[in-house]
Amino acid sequence: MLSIDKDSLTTDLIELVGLENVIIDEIALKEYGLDRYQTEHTPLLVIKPSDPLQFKRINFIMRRYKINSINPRGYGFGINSGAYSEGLTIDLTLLNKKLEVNPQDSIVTAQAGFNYSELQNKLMEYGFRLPIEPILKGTLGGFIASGGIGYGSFRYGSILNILRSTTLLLSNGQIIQTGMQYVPPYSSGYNLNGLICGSEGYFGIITEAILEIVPVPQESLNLLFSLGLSVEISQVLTKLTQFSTVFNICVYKSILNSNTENTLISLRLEGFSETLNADKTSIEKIEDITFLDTDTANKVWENRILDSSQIPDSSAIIETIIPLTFLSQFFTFWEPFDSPPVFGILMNAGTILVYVFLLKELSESRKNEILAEFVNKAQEFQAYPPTIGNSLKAFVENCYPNLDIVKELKPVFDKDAILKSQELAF
Amino acid sequence: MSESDLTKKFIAVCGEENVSNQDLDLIAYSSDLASLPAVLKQMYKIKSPQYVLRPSSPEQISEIVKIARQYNMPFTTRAGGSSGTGAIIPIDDGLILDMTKMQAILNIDPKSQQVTMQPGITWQKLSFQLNKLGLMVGIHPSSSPSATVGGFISTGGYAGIGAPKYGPISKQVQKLKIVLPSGNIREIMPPLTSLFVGAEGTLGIITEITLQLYPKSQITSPLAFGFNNLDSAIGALEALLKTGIHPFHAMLFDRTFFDASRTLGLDVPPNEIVLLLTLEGTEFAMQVELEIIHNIFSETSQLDEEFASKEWQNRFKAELFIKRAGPSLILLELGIPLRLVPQLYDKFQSMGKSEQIELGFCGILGHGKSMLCMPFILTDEQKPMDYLKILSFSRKLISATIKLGGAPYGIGLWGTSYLPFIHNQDKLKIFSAIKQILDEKNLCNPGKLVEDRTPEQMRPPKP
Repeated sequence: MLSIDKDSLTTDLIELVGLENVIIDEIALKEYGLDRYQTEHTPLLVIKPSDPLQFKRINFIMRRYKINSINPRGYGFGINSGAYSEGLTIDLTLLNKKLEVNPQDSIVTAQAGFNYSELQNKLMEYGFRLPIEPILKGTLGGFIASGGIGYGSFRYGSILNILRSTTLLLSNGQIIQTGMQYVPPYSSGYNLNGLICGSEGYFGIITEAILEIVPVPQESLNLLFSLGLSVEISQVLTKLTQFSTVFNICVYKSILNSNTENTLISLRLEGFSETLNADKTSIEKIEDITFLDTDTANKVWENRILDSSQIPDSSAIIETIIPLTFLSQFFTFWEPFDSPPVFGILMNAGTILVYVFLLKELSESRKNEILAEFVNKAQEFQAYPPTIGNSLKAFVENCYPNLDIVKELKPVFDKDAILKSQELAF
Repeated sequence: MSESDLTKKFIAVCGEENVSNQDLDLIAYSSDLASLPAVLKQMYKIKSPQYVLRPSSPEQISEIVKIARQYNMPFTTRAGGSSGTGAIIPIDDGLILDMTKMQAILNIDPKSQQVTMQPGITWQKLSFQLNKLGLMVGIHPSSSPSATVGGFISTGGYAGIGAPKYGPISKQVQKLKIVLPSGNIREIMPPLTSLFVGAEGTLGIITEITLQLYPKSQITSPLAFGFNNLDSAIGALEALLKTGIHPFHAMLFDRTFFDASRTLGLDVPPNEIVLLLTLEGTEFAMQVELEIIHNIFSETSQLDEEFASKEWQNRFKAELFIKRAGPSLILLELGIPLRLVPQLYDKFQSMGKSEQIELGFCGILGHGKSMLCMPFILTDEQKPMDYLKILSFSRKLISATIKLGGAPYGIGLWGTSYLPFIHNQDKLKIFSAIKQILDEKNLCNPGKLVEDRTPEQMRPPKP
């Protein structure tokens, strides 16, 4: 990368996207080198295309200057190092113009740089929504690339289940649809969507996506309750999964209310009011749980898309999926490490996506010791990372499902290994 | 290696009773549910398999695949044989792996609501066992008595009973144990499982499956409504989906379907289109949903409950009923957005009229506001010229579907030439490259899905 004529490259890129959309300032570049917890990577340059037609030219320029590391990026708010970069960063946040809502077919086509929340708001105007939402502020493309697990995953699974197709720019300049537009992509050729979800830009750059949308539910109800200290959490969660109106379940340990050791659970029910109330009545009968007031429950839901102020001040965050049946064992594992704050979101099929926040006051050596111990024990509770971009590289290498096949398929999409060539080199 | 040495090798792996190279067996395993006239077999240069093997474990399959690789023998997997796309027809000589011995349920975990099983179990048998424990699968095919779990997964499974409510089979699959074309046994987890779902056995052999389960519904309510035309029926269905109610199953039938049934002496309603709608859930939820449905369908004639119940009970036999009126049946499975179903239906009818071919129709509501349309034509394969004419007509129907934005459900052997009309060339190259990486010798179900061997005279018209 050092041999690149940076001035000439900059001139070419400015000519293509305009001065304001090429970032060369060292301080600004350093900002782009940050994911939430990575600080030592500064991209060569950042370019912000605003029109998909610019990609052909970008590709040409990349080849001309023999750039061997390209990294797509959205807001960079992810916590798994998907966004940091040392090569040419392509910031996709200006790719947020095209939006086609098709209520008749219940699908939406949107460019990858769309702010997910804004996209939701637009869909609401049509009486629709995407039934899965990210936990953190982010772009549509970023959410897909980082695995697409979030609010609503209990009922709908990951975004893969509502993804019809992505428009994927390959490193050789080719553009493919990874799925199909009008019918679900399961029966007329290989479904490539599964390779793209959670791939953090490893195979290609998502420039657009087509997703299934659902009508906004007629009624909803938010509940928040705390568990008695002696209650087996997985038993309560298993009970909750039996109710057909449950849309979302979150678990908070030392988060939301740091004054209590009790685990909090937030529930969102959706459906018709009579059925919601019937389920609510039954849920209230579960033993050893204490309901908090409705206002608090509603507030927790309204503020569900977390920003920095809501995330515990941490030096590292572990993001992992584990089977519900291992949740208690997982919590026990953290006891010798002062039981750090935990946030969990239930997925379908008896699994939970868990975030463990290692607080800032931990010394660097203690933090590394804990992380190493977690990686060491991860397989005991069948933990695995939701994307290949996890900040714990050893966790990915040991536990990411089917990493060897994913690596084997890399040349199919990115023959010269240009995309995420340094960050995701296994 | 001599044939007898090869036979010995396979016997050493599977046991003598599970290895056959007898002509009767080889012929029986050379076709699927659809008719396969000799003339078609000739055109596609379909050869009979050399061996039929009935393995009973992933390890045996791994050994078989390693032998196949050593001797460059193609291998094709089959189980229930209830598909009609040609995906399970071995076209080069080689091996057929009959998976029907592998039908054990390995584990049911009510706590995490998951079941792990071998792929050769039929959906009906699986459901029976799960129901006893108060559990059920989210989706199963309308051919559940004969279709196997592995087969439905391999063919994509986006439309079936339960799909509108619980989603496609790919959402339910939590783990697959696969013998890759290298012979290695691997566990595949989501999201990569979705690459193997619908891959029609071209990327490996599924040997174990873990599926998500749901609490068994307390009650199932079948309802039937009659319509004068398809537009009104689709309109009613769209209005229903807009409320957020997800029926467990919705199926449409046209008059020709019922006329065919009538020849069998069955009672049928007088309407042009019948919608069979089935809800499931708790008794209380049913009451709430039924009230909403009655409001939406207030101006539609509801057919009597006995008819609805009978049709629900017969949900696995629809194909059988019309096939009996045949003697042969050409039935297509085509996916299309729900809103386009009336347009597609009219197009089919006008195409049928201009070629003097009568065709009937039924459709299953699938996942994601799409419908699996099943136009069918009664014919007689013993009359080769008529049969080929109808076969050629059926290919025009597929082209018309693609032109409207739909796609055939399942590519198999017969549909490979449509892929360039559905995907761009760059994407097709990616398909081939994936196949090449995972199956570099092209031994795993060759000639299917991503490899087009359609003879020139059978190439479909450009949509």
